[in-house]
Parts: sequence; structure tokens; C-alpha cells
Amino acid sequence: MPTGRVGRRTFFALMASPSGLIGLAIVVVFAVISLVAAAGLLPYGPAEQDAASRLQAPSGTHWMGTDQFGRDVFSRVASGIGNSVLVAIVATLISGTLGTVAGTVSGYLRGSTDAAVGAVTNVLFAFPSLLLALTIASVFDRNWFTVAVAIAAGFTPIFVRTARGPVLTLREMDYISAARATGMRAGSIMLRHILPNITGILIVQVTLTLSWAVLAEASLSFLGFGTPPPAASLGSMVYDAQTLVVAAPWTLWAPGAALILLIVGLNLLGDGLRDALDPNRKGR
Amino acid sequence: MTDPVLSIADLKVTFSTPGGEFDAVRGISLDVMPGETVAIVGESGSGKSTLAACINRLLADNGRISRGSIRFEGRELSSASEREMLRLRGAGIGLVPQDPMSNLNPVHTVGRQILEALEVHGRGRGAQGRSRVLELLHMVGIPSPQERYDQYPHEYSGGMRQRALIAMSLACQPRLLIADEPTSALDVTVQRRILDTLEELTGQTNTAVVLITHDLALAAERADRVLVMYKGELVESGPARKILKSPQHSYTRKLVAAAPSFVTEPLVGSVGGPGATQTDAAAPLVEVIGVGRKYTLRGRAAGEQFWAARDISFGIPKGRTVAIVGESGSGKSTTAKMLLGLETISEGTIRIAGRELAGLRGREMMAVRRQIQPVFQNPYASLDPRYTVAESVAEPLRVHKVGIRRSRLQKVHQLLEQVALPATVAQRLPHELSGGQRQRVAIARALALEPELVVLDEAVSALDVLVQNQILELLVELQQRLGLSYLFISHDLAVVNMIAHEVHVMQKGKIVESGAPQQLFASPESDYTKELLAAIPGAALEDAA
Repeated sequence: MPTGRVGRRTFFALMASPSGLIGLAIVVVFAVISLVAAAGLLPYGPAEQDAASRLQAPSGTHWMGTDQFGRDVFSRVASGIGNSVLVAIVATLISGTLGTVAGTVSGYLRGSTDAAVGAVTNVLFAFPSLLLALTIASVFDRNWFTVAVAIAAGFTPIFVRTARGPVLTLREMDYISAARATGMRAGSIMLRHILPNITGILIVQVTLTLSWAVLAEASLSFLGFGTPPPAASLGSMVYDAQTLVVAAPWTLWAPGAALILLIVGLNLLGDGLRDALDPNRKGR
Repeated sequence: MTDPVLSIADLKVTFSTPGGEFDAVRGISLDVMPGETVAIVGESGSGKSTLAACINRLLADNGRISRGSIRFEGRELSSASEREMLRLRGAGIGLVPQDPMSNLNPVHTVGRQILEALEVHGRGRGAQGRSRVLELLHMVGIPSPQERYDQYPHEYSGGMRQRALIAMSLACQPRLLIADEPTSALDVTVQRRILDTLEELTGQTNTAVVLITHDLALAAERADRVLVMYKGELVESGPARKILKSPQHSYTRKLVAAAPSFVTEPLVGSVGGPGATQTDAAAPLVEVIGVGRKYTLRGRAAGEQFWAARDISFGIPKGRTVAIVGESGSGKSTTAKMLLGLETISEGTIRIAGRELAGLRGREMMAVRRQIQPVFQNPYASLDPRYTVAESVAEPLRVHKVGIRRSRLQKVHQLLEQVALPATVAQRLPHELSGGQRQRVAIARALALEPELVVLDEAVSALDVLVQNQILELLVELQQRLGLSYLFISHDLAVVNMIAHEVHVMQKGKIVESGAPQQLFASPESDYTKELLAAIPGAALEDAA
């Protein structure tokens, strides 16, 4: 596929920007932590209580100390990152897929399809995405998947708009007319000519949406509508730490710092990708 | 003798690119006298626009003047500070940019934007400024300036926008005007009127003009002196007439020879004249009968109907080229799109090899599509930037399930050979090709299904003259070898004269005149055809020949 060449060029351009590189490094570290947590390779179980060692300061045995139930904060943060990232990825996948398909089809076909998709998008846009997520999360049974769906609902219209804009320009291109004149069906044209030409923009949107989704998951958990306890979540850890912050500040610092670092990393990566994919900055 | 307004000596401009340093302008010297019009002619990439940008010091960030001097009224510009340049731009040196569509701010009224040009140089504001702007609008020939003052750019036509830009560039009465391809985005008749206005106005104020153009005929007609640039160097300069009559440099000679005009021998024999009826007695390949396309308007005139084309009838015999000529908005492209099945037909019928196009579905439609293939105008938009040449050319074969992967690749190589491209381009991406090469690829793609008719929608209009000539020759050769029919859509009568067997002139959605090109152009009957002919900047060439 010709996309391989473009992909490689983008990667090198990303390597050339220091902030993008830092973002990539942070994201890779967090990805490794999530995988380690998912594989159950953490020093302690994230929900494992030990009454004898409550509220211990960080030490060699407990790297980030322990909380009021004697649970290892590092293990909980790591597992919380895993949970947050899983929810964020699934939410982004759902909203990205739905939004891209709806945006591409409506932009390419125009007419009544476009009007219908536009109306739904506008209604969804009218609600703040967090409020929408809260509503959905409070209605359904609470598990990580409904949380992901709730978050996805708020981000889908963004993908619809992101995809539709460039499709409107692309559909007027002569190579699309040439393909139509050849007898290519609308579906094939979208799949073979339209989608590959908007992937760059979508990749950037995916990265940024991931960071928003992490934040949204943390906010929902903080408010008690996110990942249900006793499973660890960065948001609920921050909430629990509020009453302990004087006696055991590490219980707040550890999840808070992890959250900030993850979001900064994803944003830096998104910015770096955007610059790397911008044809005006490619220096050709 | 007076001093020159502009004096450039041994100018060299260097660009730093990732691929190393590159000299776009190499040691150019020229003088422009007050009131004189000097044309700089060259193909894209010759450095002519870079030269123009230098005078105003508006080079791209990666470019710099690496040697030589630019003097404007005795003042050195190559080392002038940005602040000094700010005072000069607009006030001393005016600029008429190329693209009237993107050079006006869509959120401000046109009057407001011209007033701004006055204000930055302290040449008037408020009511007095407004009356000066109205005067300027009137001067450049914009009707009812009072009303037009408060309109936005999208309410202006392309020609009017260019007039507004001219008004803006002349607002502060500059001593030098740089016009960078001022009319290449406009239709010929509009082009002529605008250049007439420009000539008249600069004549009145004794403003010197540097006219940058790729069109040798236009340069010869409008300029006192013509300078020919090639690969960053000045290869020839002199009075317009002399350059056309006895070009010295081999490049100029090629340019003069390639410039399509009515002196140029047609590449094909005409079917016109007494032998016109000798064409195949059988039904023509394509019959277009009373075809029309209507649109329902939106916005202010909502509900009203507009016919982009109406009552269009013509035939395309096998192995012949039928041309449709007209300006933008004449409906010629709509006609082409209906034939290609890209626009629905509102009335009338199109028959291809005896089969009616409307009502065809599925497999039958696919069979018809195989017989008609398009080549479009813009070589930069006609190929998917992510597809290699081989993938693009093979696409029609894949869609119609012709052959397997390997046999398709073989076919691609054959097709590339047919359009005189080396096999090595097969694995390249479009951005690695020149405009002419891309257009050859587009032709190869159109030929992949061995169609009977190729619709060429302004297929050579975006190319430099030399490349244009090569593509036209290729098209004629392919026609003779493969027995192809062409529907050739163009605004350029000179090109049509070279390639067409039969011409239809379209205006406002209707065919106003038809006939064999030589006959039609020698003795046009409709006023519109006469106007189109008069507007071609080829008169000077013809006189010289």
C-alpha cells in the first residue's frame, strides 16, 4: 500500500519534533504499565487489603505508600491507568468508527443523508459531553463498557465533523469524478479514495480524543459514575484521597500526577502528529 | 534620458530546501522606465514569479537575495529595512495578484478593503476616503459603485474582483505596478477588457508596469518590451515585435512555435468544407439530442430554476474530435458531465452507439461506461495523491474486473508506453511527477478500458505551452492509431483550432454556433464567436508571421 510510505515519512517528522517525541515516550511508558497491570504482574493486588500496613509513606516495599485500607498505591495507580486507558481506547474506537463512517457517508452523499446526520450531530453537540456521559452512565448498569459507551456518545459528533469537512473537498476532486466515470460504486470510492486521504486528520483526532476520554473517565469516576469499586480508577482514587491529603499526601499525588502526565503525553503526541502530518510543514 | 523607475542588476535569489540550495533567479539585470510596460514571460518554474516577489521583498521564508541589487527610484531595496518596505508597498510599488478569488478578504466589504489600502498610507479616511474609493471603483469600470461599495467579495464575479484588486493596487498612485498573471484565472473576453482598463489607467498616470505572464501572445500584445526567462535566467529581451519575428534563443524559438494561434497549422484535417458530409453514413458514435440540465436555486432566489445547459444537440462521429468552446459558466462542462453520466439529464436524450444513456442500470451502464472515459483539467487533482501511477492506471481495469493482477500490470506498462512515459514512473506517486507527466498518466488511465470516446474537459488548459503542444500531438497520434473519438471541452479557441474537426460554441447554456473550425473562425456569424475571437491575444503573433 502506498500509505506505508506516507506513514514512514510521518514517523520521521514526528521524531524530529522534541515535544512529539516526549509525548510518544510518555504514552509508550503508560502503555507498558497498562499491559503489566493487565497481565497481573504488579507487586500487590490492586484491591488487596492489609490492615497492618495502613497509610504508610512511600518506601522500598510500597513505592508509593499505602492507603487507608493498606492497599499498595503503586499497584492501584498502575491498575487504574490500565482501567482508564481501556475505557478511553474503547470509547475512542466507538466514537471514531461511528463518527467517521457517519461523517464520510454524509459528506460524500450529501442530500437527505447529510441533513439527517447533521441534525443528530447538532442535537448531540447541544449537550456538554460530560453531562451526556453522566446521563447515560447513570441510566444503565454500571460497568466499564457502559462507561465507555457513555463517553463515546459525547465524542462521536466531533468525529462526524472532523471527517465530513475534508470529504466535502475531496468529493469534488477530479480523481473521484474519474473513478465515478469508470463505474466505481460509492462505497468503494469512499473506502479506496476518500478514507485513505483523511486518515492523517483522523489519527490526530484519535490521539486528542484519547486524552479527553481519559479525562472524562476520571471525571465520571470522581463523581462516582465511572469504573465501579473496588476496581481501581484514577478518578475515584483522587476522590478518596481528599480526606487523607493531610495525613497521607501520597494518596493524592500518585493518581493525580499519573493522570496529568498521561493527558499531557497524549496531547503532546497529538500536537506532534498534527505537525508531522501537516503538508505545509513537510518542507517539500 | 530619464532615470529608470526600477533597476535590477545581477540579481540572484537562492532558496534553501531540504534537498540543498537552489537558485531560482540567476543573475538577472533589467531596467524599467517610467510609463513603460515590460512583460516577463516564462513557463512555471522559470523564476518569473520569484523575481516579482523580490521587487516587493515578499519572498518566501526560505528564499533570500544572495547577490545583486534592486533599485527603485534610485533607492536600494535588497537591503532596505522591513519598515521602509512597508512604506513603499502599495504607495510606491503596487501589486495586482494572480488569484482574484483568494486575494480579497471574504468577511469585509470590497469598498472597506480598498479604503484600508488608502488608510495605511494616510491617503484619506472617512467620507473623503469613501469618495476616493468610489472614484477608483468607477475608474476600473465597476458599474454603480455606490451600491457595489458595500458588497462582499462573493457578490462580485471573478472579473469584477480582479477589477477591485486593480483599484486597490492603484489606490495610492504607485509609480510601479507589478501584475503577476493578473488575468490567467479569467475568461478571454474578460481578460481583454481588464487588460484594456489596466493599460488605459497606467497610461494616464504614467505608471510603469511589470507584467508577469506565461502567455507569450498576451505579452507581445500588451508590452513595450518582452523579457523571456528560462530556468532562472534571462535568455532573451527586446521589443515585443522583434522577439516574435526573429527569436534568437532556442527556447524562445520553441515558445513562439508552440504558442497556439491561428497561424499554427492544425494538427488534424478538418471535416468541414464541401466534404463535410463524407463522414460515416452510419449513425455517429454519440448522439446528443435536445439535452438540458436544470438546477433549482437556493438562497435569495430559492425555488427559481436555472438551466445550466439547454437544447444541446450534436453528434460525435467515430474517430473524430468534436470541440465545445465557451467561457466559464457557459455550460460546456455540464454537458461533458452529462455525457459521462456524472450529472443527471433533465431533458433530452443521449445515445451512445445507439443505446440510450438514461435508464441504463447495473451491467448495461457499466458496459457504456467502458466506452467513455474522461481526462480532466487539473493535473494536480486528477490523480489520488496516495496511489502510485500503476495503481491509478490499473484502477479502471480492477473496477471492471479485467484480468488478474499480473496481466493488469503488463497492461499498465503498455499504456504508459502508449503515452510515452518510461516504465520507471509506474511505482511513483503523483507528487513526484510534473504537470505534463500527470496528464499523461490521466490519459493512460482513460485509455485502460480501450474506450471509444474520451472526454477531454480542459485537459490541456493548465499546462505550459510547450507541454500543451506535446500532449496535443500525443492526443492526435492516439486518435489516428486507435481510432478514438474525442469530446474536447475548452475555452481556448486557438487550441481547438489545432485539434478539432468540428466546433460548437456555447454561451449561457446554449449552442450559439457550430461548424468546422477553420470555417467558423474565418467567418464567424454569431456576435459571441466574434467577441471570443477578438479577445484572443494572438493578433500580434499573426501580424508578426
